[in-house]
Amino acid sequence: MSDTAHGPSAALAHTPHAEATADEGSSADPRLITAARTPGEVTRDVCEPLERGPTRLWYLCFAVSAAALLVGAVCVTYQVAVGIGTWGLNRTVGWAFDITNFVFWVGIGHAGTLISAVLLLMRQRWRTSINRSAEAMTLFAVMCAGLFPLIHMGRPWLAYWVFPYPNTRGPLWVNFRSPLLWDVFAIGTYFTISAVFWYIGMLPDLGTVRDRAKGLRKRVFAFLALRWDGSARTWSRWEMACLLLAALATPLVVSVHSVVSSDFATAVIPGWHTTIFPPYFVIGAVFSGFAMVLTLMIVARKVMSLQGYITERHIGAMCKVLVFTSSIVAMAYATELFVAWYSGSPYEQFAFANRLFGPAGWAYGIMVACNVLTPQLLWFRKVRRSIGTIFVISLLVNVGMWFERFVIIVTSLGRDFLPSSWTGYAPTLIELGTLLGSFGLFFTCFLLFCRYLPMIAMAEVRAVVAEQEHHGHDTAADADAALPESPTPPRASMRHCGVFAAPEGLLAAVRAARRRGLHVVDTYTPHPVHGLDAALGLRRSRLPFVTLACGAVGAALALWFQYWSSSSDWPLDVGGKPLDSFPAFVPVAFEVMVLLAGLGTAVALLWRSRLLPGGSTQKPAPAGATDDRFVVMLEHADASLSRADIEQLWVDQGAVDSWTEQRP
Amino acid sequence: MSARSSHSRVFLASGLVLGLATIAVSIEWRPLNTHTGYAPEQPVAYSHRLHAGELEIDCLYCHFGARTSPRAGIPPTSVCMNCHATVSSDFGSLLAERALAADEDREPRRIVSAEIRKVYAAMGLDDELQPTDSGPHPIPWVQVHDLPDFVAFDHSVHVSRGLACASCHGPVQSMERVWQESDLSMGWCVNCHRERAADPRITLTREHGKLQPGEHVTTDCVACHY
Amino acid sequence: MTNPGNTKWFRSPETRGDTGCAPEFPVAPVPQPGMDRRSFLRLTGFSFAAAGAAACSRAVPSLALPQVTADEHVVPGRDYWIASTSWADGSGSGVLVRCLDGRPLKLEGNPDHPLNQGGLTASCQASLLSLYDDRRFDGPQRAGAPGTWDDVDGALRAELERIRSDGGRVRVLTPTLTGPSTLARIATLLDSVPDGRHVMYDALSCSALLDAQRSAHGVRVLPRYDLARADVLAVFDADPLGTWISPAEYSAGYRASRQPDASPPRMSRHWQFEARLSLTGSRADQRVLVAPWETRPALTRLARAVAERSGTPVPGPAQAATDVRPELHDALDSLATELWAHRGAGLVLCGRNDHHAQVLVCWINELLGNVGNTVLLDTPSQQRRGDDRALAALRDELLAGDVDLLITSGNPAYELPGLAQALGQAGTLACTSAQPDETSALADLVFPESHELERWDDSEPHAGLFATTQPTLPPLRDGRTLRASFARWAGDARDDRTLLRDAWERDLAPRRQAADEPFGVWFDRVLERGWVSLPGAPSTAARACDAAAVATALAAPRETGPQPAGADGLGLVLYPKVGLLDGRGAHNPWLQELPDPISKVTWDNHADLSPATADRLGLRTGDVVRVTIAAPSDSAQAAVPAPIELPVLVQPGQDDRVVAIALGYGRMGTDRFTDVGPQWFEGRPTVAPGATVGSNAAPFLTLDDGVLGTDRRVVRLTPTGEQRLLATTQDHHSLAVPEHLAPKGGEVRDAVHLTTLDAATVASHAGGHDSHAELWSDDFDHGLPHWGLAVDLTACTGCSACVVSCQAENNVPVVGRDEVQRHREMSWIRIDRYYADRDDGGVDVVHQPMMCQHCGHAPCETVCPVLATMHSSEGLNTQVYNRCVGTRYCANNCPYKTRRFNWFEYSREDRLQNMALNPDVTIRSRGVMEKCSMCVQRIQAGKAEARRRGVALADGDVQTACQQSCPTRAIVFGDLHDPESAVSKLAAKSRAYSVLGELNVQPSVRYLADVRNPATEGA
Repeated sequence: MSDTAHGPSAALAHTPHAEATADEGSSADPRLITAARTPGEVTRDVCEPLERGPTRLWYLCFAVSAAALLVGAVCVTYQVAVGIGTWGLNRTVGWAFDITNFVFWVGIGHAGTLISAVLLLMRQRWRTSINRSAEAMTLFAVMCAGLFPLIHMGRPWLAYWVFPYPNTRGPLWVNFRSPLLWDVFAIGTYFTISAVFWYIGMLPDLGTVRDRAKGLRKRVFAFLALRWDGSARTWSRWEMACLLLAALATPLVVSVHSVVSSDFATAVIPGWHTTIFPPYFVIGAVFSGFAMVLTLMIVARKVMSLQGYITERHIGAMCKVLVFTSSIVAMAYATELFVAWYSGSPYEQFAFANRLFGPAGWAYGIMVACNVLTPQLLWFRKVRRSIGTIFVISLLVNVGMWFERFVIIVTSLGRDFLPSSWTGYAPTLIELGTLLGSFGLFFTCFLLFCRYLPMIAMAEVRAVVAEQEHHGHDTAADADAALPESPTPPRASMRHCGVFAAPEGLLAAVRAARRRGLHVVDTYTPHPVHGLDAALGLRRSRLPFVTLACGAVGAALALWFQYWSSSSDWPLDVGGKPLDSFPAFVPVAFEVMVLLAGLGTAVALLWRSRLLPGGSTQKPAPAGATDDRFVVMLEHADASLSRADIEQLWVDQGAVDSWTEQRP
Repeated sequence: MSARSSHSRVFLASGLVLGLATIAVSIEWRPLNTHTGYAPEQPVAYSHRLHAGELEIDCLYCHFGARTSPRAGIPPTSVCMNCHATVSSDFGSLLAERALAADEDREPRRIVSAEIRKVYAAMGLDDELQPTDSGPHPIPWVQVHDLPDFVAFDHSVHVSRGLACASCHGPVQSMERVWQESDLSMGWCVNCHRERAADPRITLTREHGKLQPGEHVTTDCVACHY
Repeated sequence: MTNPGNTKWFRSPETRGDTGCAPEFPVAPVPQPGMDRRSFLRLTGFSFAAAGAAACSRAVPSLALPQVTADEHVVPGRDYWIASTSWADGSGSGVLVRCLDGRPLKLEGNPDHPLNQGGLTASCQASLLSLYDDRRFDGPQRAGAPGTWDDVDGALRAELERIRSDGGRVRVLTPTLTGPSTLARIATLLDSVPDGRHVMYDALSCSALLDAQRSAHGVRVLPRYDLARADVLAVFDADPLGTWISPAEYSAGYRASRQPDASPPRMSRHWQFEARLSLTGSRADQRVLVAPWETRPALTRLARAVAERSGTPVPGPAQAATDVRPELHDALDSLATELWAHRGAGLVLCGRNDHHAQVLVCWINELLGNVGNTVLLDTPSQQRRGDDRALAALRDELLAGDVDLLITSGNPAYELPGLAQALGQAGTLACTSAQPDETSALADLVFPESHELERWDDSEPHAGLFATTQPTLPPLRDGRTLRASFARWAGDARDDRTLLRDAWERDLAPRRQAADEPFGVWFDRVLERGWVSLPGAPSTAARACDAAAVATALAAPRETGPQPAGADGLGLVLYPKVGLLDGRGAHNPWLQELPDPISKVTWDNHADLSPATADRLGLRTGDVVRVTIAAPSDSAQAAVPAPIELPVLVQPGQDDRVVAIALGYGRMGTDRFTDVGPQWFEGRPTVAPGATVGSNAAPFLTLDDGVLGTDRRVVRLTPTGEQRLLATTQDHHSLAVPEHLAPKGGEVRDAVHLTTLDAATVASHAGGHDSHAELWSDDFDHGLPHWGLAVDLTACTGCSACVVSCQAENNVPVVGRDEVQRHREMSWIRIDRYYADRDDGGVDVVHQPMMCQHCGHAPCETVCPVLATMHSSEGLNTQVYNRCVGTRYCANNCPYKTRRFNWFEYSREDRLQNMALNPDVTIRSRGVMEKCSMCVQRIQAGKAEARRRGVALADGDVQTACQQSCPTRAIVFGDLHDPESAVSKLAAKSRAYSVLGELNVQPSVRYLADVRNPATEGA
């Protein structure tokens, strides 16, 4: 079929891997990634641990996590079978561990989105080493979070009633004024969009793994990688889709924790009923999420030997975020106290006096000590360089943030308006086991992720490596706009491929080919190459229009449906609120807008780039194009050009390999 | 190229089918206890077609509870005896026996059909309406219409408002063996209430500050669930 | 269901008893033990019975079993009412029993009954559940094994024959009996033996009061007290609103004397002298702590002070002025002044079983001219007729082995000190215990008594008032009435109804005035009504107080308290709780789980100590102490009772010198409650297997000098070092927040409004901060009724009748001790009890019934994701159980915390007790929220009934269960949109306020401030 001719083969010189285990003191190295200088090294460092069998440490960790998960599963089964009374809740404290854990896990998730989305928008390149695992963390944390609202229901087997689906009850819809319903949409959207973002971002790396794998593994990854080919057009759309998803995820992450905080802020309970909660919860989430990322990264770089990718600079940057968010959290605590005092409401004042000095005052103490006091140590550079100390601080922050939610929920509920109903709360073994189980679920998922999926975004790290290895301005880029158009030759039957070891060679070859009027069919690269779109003369992707359209449809649909079901189809008196409670309809409308926009963008990307899964056995990407090779594919209808001329072009531009194949 | 797009088409088409199927299933979703058309065999082959249809016996004659009680009730067997103390078989058999008796020149014997014999047995009576040793026992009718325990339905309220039995139970007068006509789902109840609540002829009147009875069709949840 | 006060709805099976065609109960086999509700219904032939779990699937067809013979009086599914009488609290209150499909479902006070006037105490309401008690004997017992009636009757008659021929003593020991037909039967039998005597006793004895009446006025009767006419009420050591003699009657009278809204306001002054905080004491205007041994000196002082003012010479020697403490002295002087100022309209009551004290009370009431006004002797009460002297004599006879045959009713072996030992000495002991108990365990023959709701009976709560008791269902268990038993033993084998009817025809019919009516018609009318007043009671015209008796009383030696030297020596006060009383309610889970109105403790008794004493002894609530009688008892006969171990409860408002312990606990067989409540691995059993609920304090009672004493001089408390968590429904003792958490200036939450009569009348008392600011216009003005409640805190005594009534009406489950400890009690209405410190060191107590407030802007509704709770067009906050998924968000967001969650599957399908379930109310499954529905099933039934009859729904046609049972009419239900309705008028009063009105959730329940009438300066 394909007529392949190998040109001069130049073995890629392997640079000695001196910094692979860069010691933590060598911060003199200005580079972000100290472990690699070439794309191939990145591939090797990330993929090899996946291809080798897991280490003993991994097995140990997995055994512990799975055991914890098992304990949790047993506890949840028992609770669902026997009754929610197996939790320590009572008539006054209706939520405690369940919603504490829910908010805690949602909060943990937020750093992942923040690192991948917000830092992407802010062009923070240091995110690339950690964004993949941070996103995975988000997914698993949201899974853990979603578990709790489900099992905290008295009748979890009827949980599907929270969805507005057509039914034979009238139909009876749902209450769009309830923050819990907003939660359903917020958490659902958040999980979906996070998963889509994670998956779309992982496609290039799945391609890499696929192309290195054999046997069953290859077939599985071939399915997962969705025919990823690394072509310039795909990269262009992929980058745009990532940007769009990031732009959607950023307000989403803010909305999600704002909605979660509305569970409390919209209630009448003193200590809950406060407008500061949305920003307070969002920043708390960022704070706890970054702490969790730190915890995970510190462990992961050790276990997976990725010190050269997750360097001290990464950790230092995260420490700074931590101390910054800690300060905001401290301010939130202070503001809360001030507002309680300033409100003049005796109930509000009591709620906070009770928080500080009441029976659960110890929990407030833990919260302040862990969230406000301990992170202040990170102002000192010395502390920021001590990985062990950072690890401990990050753990403490997680503990502190868990207690923050516990304090808010339990102390507010336990002693509200009528002293006759005041109670306390103590967890049962089942609740402790369920909390343990949620950690088990989280770490089991995370370990499986580490084991089977590339936990570092190879494509993006390759780009960073390429950038830090390439010094100096790409002067040729200025003339790209002047390159002649070369329409697709109608009668060409052969395609000529040149393989390069570095993006510079690829760019030069593309430009050279176009100058000669040759048609560059496409290029296939292991990472998006800066300037390639211009060199190829590609148009800007039109994905944003899809996103806009889907978002608009989503918002309109959601608003109309909420209005119609609440005020027209079956108007019901809910708390005396007006039938057209538009302010209450905003959260769901927003979430549906983001959901449809995100899904639309992803589907449009896959559709346009023909990445949809299919059974074709055809190899999607040229050999090495997902690893360390940069491939240019040419066509021409010029009969005067011989194969040798093309070969010469490749040699001139420094190709390491070349071949010619039949046009399919 | 064509291979790829055909895959995409398959992908899309299956997604579309799946989505439509989901919607269809949810619209057609029926709680398990709606059993429209359920027509169990009864211990006595009582014919509503004969009694309510041909003989035009009023529903409330037997199901008298519907007038005053939440439950319409299955008539006590003694109600059957109001007629069947004398009517012991179908007319045809009686005529045949009379003819036969005339032929044989004897007094006609008492003819008791098999089904009516069951009624007598339930009353603890033999064919000659004399008490038997076995004594009375209820006839184990099989319940056709069943609402969940969390639904409170009051027959008397509906009957006293003039709602025809057939509105819910269907053309019982044409049923040889009774089947469940309506699905008795909540939506079915509610839609009827909605239609009537929207009827401008049914309005609420307040005289001297007092709620006048029978003038309000409600869609309150608490009308049925408490 | 309409207003049961509408006499049209009364009916009795008797009304068709004479037709002779229908059996008494049509086609109603006797349910068997362990039979579930549905099976029972199927057997009674009235119901659609589902076989198996056929609710969701037609795999198993459901059967619909009709009646065989139509009963023209009972329409399946339609409830009917039977008038009867309940003696469950010893008061003989008139009840209307709501029956459906052939079984009783609810007891309600008979509004027409002269005694209780519609109110009904918790214990009477709960007696319904005792009917469905699967531990009741099914047939007689002989020597601990089941026997046949012929067998046991034969044995007893043989014994009687032997005694008739050989001589010997026959004794009948019963609690107070008033039924003329039964008493006549007993008398007949006892007359037929050489030495027969009937001894009546009361575990909660008023014997001294009766004896004092004999000493003073010459007749041994219990006066009726008309609290309604008392402007000054002084109560010494008694709990007339809670447990003493006739609480429902007294409560109604008490309420009538306290009408701050009347014009001019009428407010009695209520003085309470007591050592422990009783329910009545919690309502007092002036409460003075008096140790039991101080009562007699205090009354002596009061008697002298009153006599001084009346100018009556005081017989006997002068009294030392130091006999009472100075502060008590002053209080008594003020009281004497007030009493004198309101002579003829005052009332002094004393509950202490002390002959001299009671004689003094007689004299004081006479000096004040109260006799004939508030103390009624012409139609005396018969609710307590026990004679402790006779009881003591019987005990001595028994111990001496002189009794050949003893027939007992009640449970004397448990209720009376030392009786268990004495009963064992009887030649033959026959008892009529309905279920295995302490007495039946000793008995040779057991003739189980049928339950009140399944028997024919009569009674005479006070002279001339004859009440009837009718069966409401065929007997569930093979039992018999006392009357039938005595008749049988006398050779009369007629059935019970005939016996009763004949007795009435013979003894009572001649006393009626219009004798032209045939007896049968008249008797049916009496049954239908439940009671009849007959003139011609033997005159008990009392003579004037006997001076000699008074002189003796005045000169009686002082009792002494514990010696101050013994630092831990405390006086002991034994008292009955509202639920269990003397222990008769101990097998009733509703009563066991009913929070004590004061301590809010369920499922336990405890040693109550004042905060100061607890501090002094270093004890805290929950510390288990061993209670020991320190000194040998005065009487050599009674052995020193064994010590008991009890958890301490720190009780504000109690005298520092006493420890108070509730009677009625530690009943045999209460380990049956082991598995009450959910079973799970952290769940603790309500009572340890083989143990009892609480500890029996009855052995600490004294039966010395012919008096059943409820107090002891010296007991010692020894900490055992153990802890026992009490199951309380309310932890906090104060309305004020804990001091160290209070914002500056101190915060007292104004959830309850406690005010004085002066303040209430002078100031137009603003009802809190009710604002009517609206954020949005009202989309939901339906022009329909807006159901609401008004709760008058001035009237509420905290008696908790409403709590049990609600439980019975709304199928509120019993959850067990462990769940209560976990604060998961399910009652839809609770009574919040708040203490407020007084300037004089005492405490004020306020009771606030708290149920779902049915807020117009309900915070619970907005937060439910699935629309399981929302507003009805009639202003109700509704909870749809079958829609609820159980997020509990609504309960969290309820400022009143009135929502209740089903943490476990509390209902059980396999209990006889489930026959008490109200089929009009859904049984809630696990994982759903529930709460007060304002008895929406009654509203719906009321509307349906009005519709059927084509009439308008009038104010008062629908009553909620709590309202109906309330002896003081503190709760009123009605349409808030109707300005003429009773509830609207109450809500418009200046005393009205909304709890937490500042939240502007617009509750449909309005409270009326608690008005007290404390002494005013210079008054």
